Amino acid sequence: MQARDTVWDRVERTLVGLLGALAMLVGLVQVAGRYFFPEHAISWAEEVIVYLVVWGVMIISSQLVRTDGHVRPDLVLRALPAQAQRWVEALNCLAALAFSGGMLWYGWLIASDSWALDERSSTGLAFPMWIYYAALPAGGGLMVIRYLIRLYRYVFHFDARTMTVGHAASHEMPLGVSVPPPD
Amino acid sequence: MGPILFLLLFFGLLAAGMPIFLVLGACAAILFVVSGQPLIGVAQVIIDHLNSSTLMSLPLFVMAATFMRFGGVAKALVDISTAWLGGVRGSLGLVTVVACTLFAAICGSSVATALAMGTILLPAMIEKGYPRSFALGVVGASGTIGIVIPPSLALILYGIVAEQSVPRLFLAGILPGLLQAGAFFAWVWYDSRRRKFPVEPTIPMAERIRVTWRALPALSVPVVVLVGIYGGFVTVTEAAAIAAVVSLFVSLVFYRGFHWTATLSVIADAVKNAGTILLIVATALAFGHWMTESGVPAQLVQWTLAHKFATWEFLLAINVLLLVLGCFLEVVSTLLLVLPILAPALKPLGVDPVHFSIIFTHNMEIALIHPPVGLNLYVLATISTAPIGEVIRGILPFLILLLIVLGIITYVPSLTLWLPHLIYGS
Repeated sequence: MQARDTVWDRVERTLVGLLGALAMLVGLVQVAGRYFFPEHAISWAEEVIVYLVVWGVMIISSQLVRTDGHVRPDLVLRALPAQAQRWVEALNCLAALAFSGGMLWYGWLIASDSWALDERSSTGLAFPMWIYYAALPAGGGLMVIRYLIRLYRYVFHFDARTMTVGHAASHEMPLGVSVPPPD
Repeated sequence: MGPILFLLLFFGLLAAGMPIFLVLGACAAILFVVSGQPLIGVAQVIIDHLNSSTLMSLPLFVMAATFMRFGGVAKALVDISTAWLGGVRGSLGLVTVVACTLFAAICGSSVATALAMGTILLPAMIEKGYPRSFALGVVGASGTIGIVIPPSLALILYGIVAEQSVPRLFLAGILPGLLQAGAFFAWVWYDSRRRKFPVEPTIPMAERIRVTWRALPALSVPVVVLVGIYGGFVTVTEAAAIAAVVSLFVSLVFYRGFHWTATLSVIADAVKNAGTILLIVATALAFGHWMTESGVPAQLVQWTLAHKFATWEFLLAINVLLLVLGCFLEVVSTLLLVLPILAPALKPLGVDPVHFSIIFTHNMEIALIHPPVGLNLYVLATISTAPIGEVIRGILPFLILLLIVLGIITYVPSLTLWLPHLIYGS
């Protein structure tokens, strides 16, 4: 299930890397400011960390589908013959499509309502909440695309050697660290 | 009829290998529809539950652990333990226990601890002539210490679901964690003598000091976290952010496990690891939200009170239930499924929620190495290419030790509660 990285993958990962780095930095700035530069101290770090990390998680959920990284108990699946696995996986994709489609649609409603009402966070920052809520349809949308690709591969391009359970372990290492030896 | 159908659906979806966050999300959606609430409520509950700053300490600690794992910190901890334990029979086994305990104080996850230590210590032990099943057993079992010694991801989640103070829970985990590490240490000591494991050469004092000096930056991370939290300087979430920044810094500057150009990629990977947990948390909380409204927990409380169960009977039943569930689900899912039902029942039954948190996480540790499906068993089988049977054989003595420790933790509450009471009062 491990294809080569496309520009799309690299954009997703770089974006998430930046969001994660910002979250760490904001936390550091808040603590450092409080003790060393009280005149420049900020107090909204924890709120902003939530927005940054949730956006990061929603974007990376797309990579989780691609690399089969979502946590799932695969004991029963493992015991099935390859062809049975293929159709169970296809069914799983359909269920996942329904759920991520729901995330996309209802998330869109929540975010656009919040935009229309100009809803702000109740803190001093008064952050526009639609930006935070928009993470939900973004994650749902990305997962819909990834699950469509996955469904297509299981139905039309099934390869029992690489697409049965237990052949996606290479997602363990991040890029640029080192390549694990093949199993 | 309804509940049975629902349980069938739930376990059916799990058995079909559907990702856990989807199973929980789909079940929550079905429950919302059946009880006549609009589906948009599920989405709203999911995004609202994620909007919690305490919850964000979890991804930040996961980031810290990821930097530590790829940054060469594990190696420094192994080196310092080897330097001081050289010359003792079976020292590499003892090193595993000590290094895992140190790593556990940096990282909040058992699987990450087993992975980080296993990749270094397994090849080393096998090369030196330790039986492979022993090497696998000691790494897998010591890895579980990661879940009780603070910072602990499981205890953060417990604090959120059961509405307990996370710093208090962290304190409660320290003594039981050390008891477990001590029990493992004693067993490895005894087993090494019995089976004549190799003796490593003693390391000269100058070298010991050099290695200790080198490990100091790594050991500074838990110190920063604990002093920050218990000195009242930072919140748990701020401490997690600081831990992430400091571990990135020591990885890049002192240990150079990865090149700085790979930083963004490693962070993305850390968010990905955190994302698997957060998505489960979000959908599980939606599920738990419905569960609480449905009144199931209240019924459970009434039922247990009506049958006049003694506290010890209740705890024993919970131990058994959690061990069984742990065979099917991993730590986070079990915690999020069971806790919303059990938490309201603790007070009426006279169980301290802080004491219960450690019983709970300890049960989860056992579940991690419990045959046939403990997660650490599979992690070890994967990184060592050993058959799962060999892993299980090696882990059995430690499993028995863990069960004994669980008994002590369950029936000697003061072991858990003494430290939090000392610091915070009761």
